[in-house]
Amino acid sequence: MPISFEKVSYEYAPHTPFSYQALRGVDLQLAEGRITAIIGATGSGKTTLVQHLNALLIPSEGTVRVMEHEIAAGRRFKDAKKLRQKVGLVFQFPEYQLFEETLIKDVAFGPINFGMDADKAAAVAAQALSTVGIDKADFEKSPLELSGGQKRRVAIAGILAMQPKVLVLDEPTAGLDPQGAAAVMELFRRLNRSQGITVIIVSHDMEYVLDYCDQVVVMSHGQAVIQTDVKGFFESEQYMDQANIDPPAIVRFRQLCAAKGLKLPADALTIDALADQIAKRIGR
Amino acid sequence: MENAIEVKDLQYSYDQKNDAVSGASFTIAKGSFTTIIGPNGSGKSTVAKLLMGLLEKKAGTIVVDGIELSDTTVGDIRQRMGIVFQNPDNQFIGATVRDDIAFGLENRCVEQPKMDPIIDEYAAKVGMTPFLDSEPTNLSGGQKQRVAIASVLAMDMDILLFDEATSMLDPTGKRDISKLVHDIHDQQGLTVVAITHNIEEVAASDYVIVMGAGKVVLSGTPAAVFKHQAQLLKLQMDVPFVYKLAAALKARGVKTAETLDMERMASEICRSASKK
Repeated sequence: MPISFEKVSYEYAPHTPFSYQALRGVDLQLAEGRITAIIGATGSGKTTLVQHLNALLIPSEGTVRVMEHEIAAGRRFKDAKKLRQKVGLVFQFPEYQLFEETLIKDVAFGPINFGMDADKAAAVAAQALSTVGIDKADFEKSPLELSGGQKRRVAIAGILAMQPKVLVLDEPTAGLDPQGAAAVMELFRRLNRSQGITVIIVSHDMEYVLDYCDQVVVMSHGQAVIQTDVKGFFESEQYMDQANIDPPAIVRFRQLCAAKGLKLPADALTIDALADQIAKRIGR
Repeated sequence: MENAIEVKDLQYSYDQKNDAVSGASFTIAKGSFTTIIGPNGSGKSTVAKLLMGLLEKKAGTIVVDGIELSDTTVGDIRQRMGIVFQNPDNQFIGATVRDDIAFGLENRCVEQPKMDPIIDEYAAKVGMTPFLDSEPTNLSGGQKQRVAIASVLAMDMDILLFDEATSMLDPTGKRDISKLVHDIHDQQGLTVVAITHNIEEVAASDYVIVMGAGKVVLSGTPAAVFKHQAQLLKLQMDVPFVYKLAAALKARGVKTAETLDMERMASEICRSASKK
C-alpha cells in the first residue's frame, strides 16, 4: 500500500502572530519498496512533510495515508504507537540524541520502550548494530568514543531495532565526510534491496540522489511540484531549474558542453556512459 | 617564501596508546590558501587543535608567525591565529550578533567607544549588518558561521583556520561561506588554512596537504596532488569529477589536457568534437 498525501496543509502556531504555513495542499504518492528523495530549497517544507509520515505532525487540512493508517485533519490519531513501530523517522544530526552508556543499551532503548523484554531487545539491538556495520567488539563502548560517521550509524541502528517497514531520514549525510556519507547511503540501498524497506530521504546532496535514489519529489513553497523518477529528473533541464538545485557534477558538465555547442545525450548519467558518448563524438 | 606555520615531527595521543598524530611535518606559506584533507581519523582536526594550543602536543614543534608555540607563547599565538569550527550552534556565545562579535573584543580589553565601529565594520564585511540585533535562534547555520568569521576577523588575525566550517550547511550556505572566505583571503592577504572534505574547495586552493594515519602522506598544488589517484583512492579520498572523466576517456583512447577546471575540459572536448 503506498503512502499518500491528499490536499495536506500544515500551519505552525496557528492563530498567533508567528503562524507559518509550511505545507499548502500537498498531493503526493510515495512508492512502496523504493528509495525516494525529497529535495527542495531550505524552507520549502521538506522536514514538515516527512514529520507527517509517523504522525509527529497532524495535518491542519487534508489526509495522510500510511499503510492502513489514516491521519486526518481535525481528528484525534489514536494509533501513533503502532504507526511509529512501522515508520522509523531519523532526524537531522540524530547522533546528538544518543544518551546511553553503551551502544547496545542505546539501540535497545527503543524496542524496550515499545514493550519488548530486555533479552530480546538486546538481541534485536545487536542485529541492528551489525546491520549498520558496527563491530561486535564495540557494542559495550560509549557513544562518545565513536567518530561522527559511526555515531550517525548507531543512531540509525536505534531506529532499525524497531524493525520498521518504512525508514524516513532527514538529511542523513549532512556533516559526514564522503566515506561516511557513502557508507550510510550504501546501508539504505542494502536495507531497501534485501529487506524491501521503503526508504524516504530528505537530501540536499544531488550526487547521492543521482547515485542511490529511485524517485524524486521536489518541494517548493510548501507544495510537491514535481514527482518523477531520478533519471527523468536529471535528464530534464526544466525540472532542475524549477527545483532550484545544484546539479551533480556530471549534469553540470553536460550543461557546459551544451552551452559550447556539443549536445551530449541527457541519459548518459554515469561517468562510463558519458565517456562512451564523448569518445563516439570525437571519433574513437 | 615566508612561512605562516611550520610544523615538525608533531605527535599527539588521546589515550596514551595510539597516536592520533604520529610525526606530522608540513609548512604553510604566508598568504596562501591551504587545504588539509584526509579520511576520518587521519588527524586533521587534532592538528588544528594542536596548532591553536587547545591540545598539548606529545612531541614536535609548532612555529606560528615565527613564534614557537609553548605555554608562554600560546596567548600571543591566539592573537594572530583564529579558528572557526564545524558546528554553527556550538560557537555562538552572544545573545545577539552584536554581542557575539563583541565577546572577543571585550576579552582583548578594547574600549567600549572603539568597539562599535569595529563591530559594524566586520558585520558589514560578512554581510550581517541587517542582523546585528538578531538572536541566534533566528539565524540560519550559514548566517551563524558568518558571525563566527566576523568575530575572528574583528580581532585582527593574520591566520584563519577553518575546521570543516561549511560541512553542516546546506548547498547555498556552503557556497556562500566558501565565497566569503575566498574573498576575505584575496582582499586582506590573510593566510587561510581550511580542513575540508569538499573536493571543489580543494581544487580552488593554492596548496593541499593530505593526511593519512596521523602523518602527511602527500602535499603540493591541487593539480600535483590529484595526479596520485591510486594513492588517494587507497585513502578512500574522493577525486574531482574532471579527473574521473579524464581517466575514463583515457581508457577509451581519448587524451585530454590535465586540468581541474571543468569549464576548460568541456571547451577542449567541444573543440575536439567539432574538428572531427
